[in-house]
Amino acid sequence: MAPARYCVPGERLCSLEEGTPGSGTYTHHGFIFASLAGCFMKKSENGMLPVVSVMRDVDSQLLPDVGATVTCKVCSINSRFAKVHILYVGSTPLKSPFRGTIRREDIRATEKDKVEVYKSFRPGDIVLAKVISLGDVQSNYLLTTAENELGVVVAHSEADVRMVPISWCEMQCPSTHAKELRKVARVQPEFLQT
Amino acid sequence: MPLDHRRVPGPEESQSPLLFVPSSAQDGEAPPAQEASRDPTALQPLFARVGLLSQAKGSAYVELDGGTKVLCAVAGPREAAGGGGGGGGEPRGRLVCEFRRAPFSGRGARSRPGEREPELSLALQEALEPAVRLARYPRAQLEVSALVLQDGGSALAAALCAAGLALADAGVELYDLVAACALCRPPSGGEWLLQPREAEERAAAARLTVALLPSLNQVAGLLGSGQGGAPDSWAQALRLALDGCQRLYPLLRQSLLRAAKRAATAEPSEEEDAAEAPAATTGT
Amino acid sequence: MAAAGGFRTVEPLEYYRRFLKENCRPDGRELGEFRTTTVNVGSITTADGSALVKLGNTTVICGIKAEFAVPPVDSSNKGYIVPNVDLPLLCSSRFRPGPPGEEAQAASQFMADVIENSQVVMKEDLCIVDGKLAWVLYCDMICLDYDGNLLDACMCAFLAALKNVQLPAVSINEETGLAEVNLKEKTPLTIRKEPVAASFILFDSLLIVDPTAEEEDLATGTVTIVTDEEGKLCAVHKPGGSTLTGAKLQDCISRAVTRHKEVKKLLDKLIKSKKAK
Repeated sequence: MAPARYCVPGERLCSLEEGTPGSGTYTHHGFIFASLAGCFMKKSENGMLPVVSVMRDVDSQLLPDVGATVTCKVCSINSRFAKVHILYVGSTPLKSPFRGTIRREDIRATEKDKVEVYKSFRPGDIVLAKVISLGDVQSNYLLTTAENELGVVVAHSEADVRMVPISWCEMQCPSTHAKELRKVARVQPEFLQT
Repeated sequence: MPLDHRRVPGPEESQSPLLFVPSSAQDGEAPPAQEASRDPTALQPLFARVGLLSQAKGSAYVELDGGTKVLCAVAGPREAAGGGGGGGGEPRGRLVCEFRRAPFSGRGARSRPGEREPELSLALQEALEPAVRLARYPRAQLEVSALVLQDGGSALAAALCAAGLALADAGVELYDLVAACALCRPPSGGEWLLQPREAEERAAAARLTVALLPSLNQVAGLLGSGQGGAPDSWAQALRLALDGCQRLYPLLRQSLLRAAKRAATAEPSEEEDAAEAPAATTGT
Repeated sequence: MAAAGGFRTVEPLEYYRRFLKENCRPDGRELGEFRTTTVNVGSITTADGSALVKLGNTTVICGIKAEFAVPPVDSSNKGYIVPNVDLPLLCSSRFRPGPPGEEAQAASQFMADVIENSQVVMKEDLCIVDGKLAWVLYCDMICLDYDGNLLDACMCAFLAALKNVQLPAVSINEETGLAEVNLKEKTPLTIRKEPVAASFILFDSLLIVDPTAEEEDLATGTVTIVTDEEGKLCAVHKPGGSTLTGAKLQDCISRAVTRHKEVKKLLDKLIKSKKAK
């Protein structure tokens, strides 16, 4: 492998005829420029124009974007929505949390009118959700859990013991055997920790 | 002055001992010969180091040969305080800048602590905004804070260079780095001097700081003050500054590349880091 | 790896406990181990004395400026020492811009108390003319990188900077009655005591030395012990938190005494190497 080429923001990488701009780049006057300090990459796929991008070794910070899967912690609930703090975008932790809202109608895909917020989330729960909109000036990020993979992944019972999911809408406390209602996510392997 | 309960109070009034140096002795101190012989287009040697603070997302330290030492840190992007961006339109990110001097940074009397310098903070912000791709950070704010540890002249220019590097180190998407130069015109008229030292800056009749996006060759910020002069003279100053910025650029670029490579080779070089850091700040 | 990082953010307490069970800490230190300390003096030439101290990542710079003032009315033969700790936004995003916050105020007050009680420098030594003229030492400590254990770093930076101070000679002109300063003749301060601080956190009845910022956030209490070179106590600072038995406090004190020896060795070596130059 050739030694990696590093570049700094503002460096001209190539003309638009030689490649298509990828992440960490911008175009200006028909040329592709670097917008990050990092490693220059050129990837071509079956005869297409190569994608030109700049990668950082350290994960460059992400902002929650529409369509991104985020991990968040429930702060407060009421009958219309749950307020959450977004802690992760994908598997990248955010340095400071962003606030988000999961409205009642976005909790699950079916029988939306029968959903009740307090039967789906409780404060302190760790929830996997997807961003549906950046919101407008007053509101914050709008999130949804209306998919099988989305919903509560970690929850503690009233006895403060971590519960195990037993169905898509119930979790059980291993010490008291009490059942509590949640919108449970289909368990994803990376969150399976003892 | 109102009593400040948040700081340990000192005596109500105090004066710098420099005011009490007999004038005969003072003449010996000042080196007037040096000013005359100086090449006006000479840049002070610059030392830049990127990524040395652990808690900041990105950081940079810039030191000029004249003694100026500036540290800059970048935090965020974090949720913008007070809802979205300014005034409804597209939710563009915000840049919040702070420029401060350490109380012991200047020659002579100690400056009051914690005094923010609103004018210079604003100059910093206005000169950095064109360099940052703020549209990539909807609903968020980026915080840049610069601290002058020692002012040996051209402090704002050094802070601008450091801020550009710190932003790049933080992985903030930029259009370009920022290179900046200061200039001043001696009171006797004469030529503009590039990257003035503290003594030159103090005596100057007019001062100018220019920030440039070096590879796009666009001027990002311009801050001038002092006695007016012929437009030609200012135009000449600008040319001199742009040339100075272009000469600084390779230095800044190198320090950033060094940091990027250091990060890539990861662990073993961290040791070297620790050994290097004190050497960087040793003054004899 | 992402999962481990995630565990650390989502359940920091549990994460930390797992390390303690093995008698070590996330950064690989033992419970009673200080981070590498480096000291550098005299780097700020605009100050009369300065020092930069690094305690692991935590970095504090102390600059001392000496000025003239009239001695206080109630004690005409004394000068002033004015310590202030600044925690700017630069050192950690947990702090807000503006006037000093609670933590900075508390640290400033702590420094002032130690200086007052330990008599590091006799204030009488700072007097130039009784009732007329005295030195004010403005000691500004600025944290540049905040990764826990601020007080130890401040105390060390303060002491090192104090040792670095060179005051110009002052004489009184008999004709004008005004002071005259001779910048060519400089003398160091007389330092009477050398206070050194050692801080601990309490965590599940364990004592952990030199905490990082992350550890401080999880701790249920902190203790700071300041001792002088004879092993005498200058200050014991325990702002609330969980309780501490007498025996544990003894442990803290004896650890603080050994810490003093370590720091003193470091400073002595530094001063010696400065003199050699």
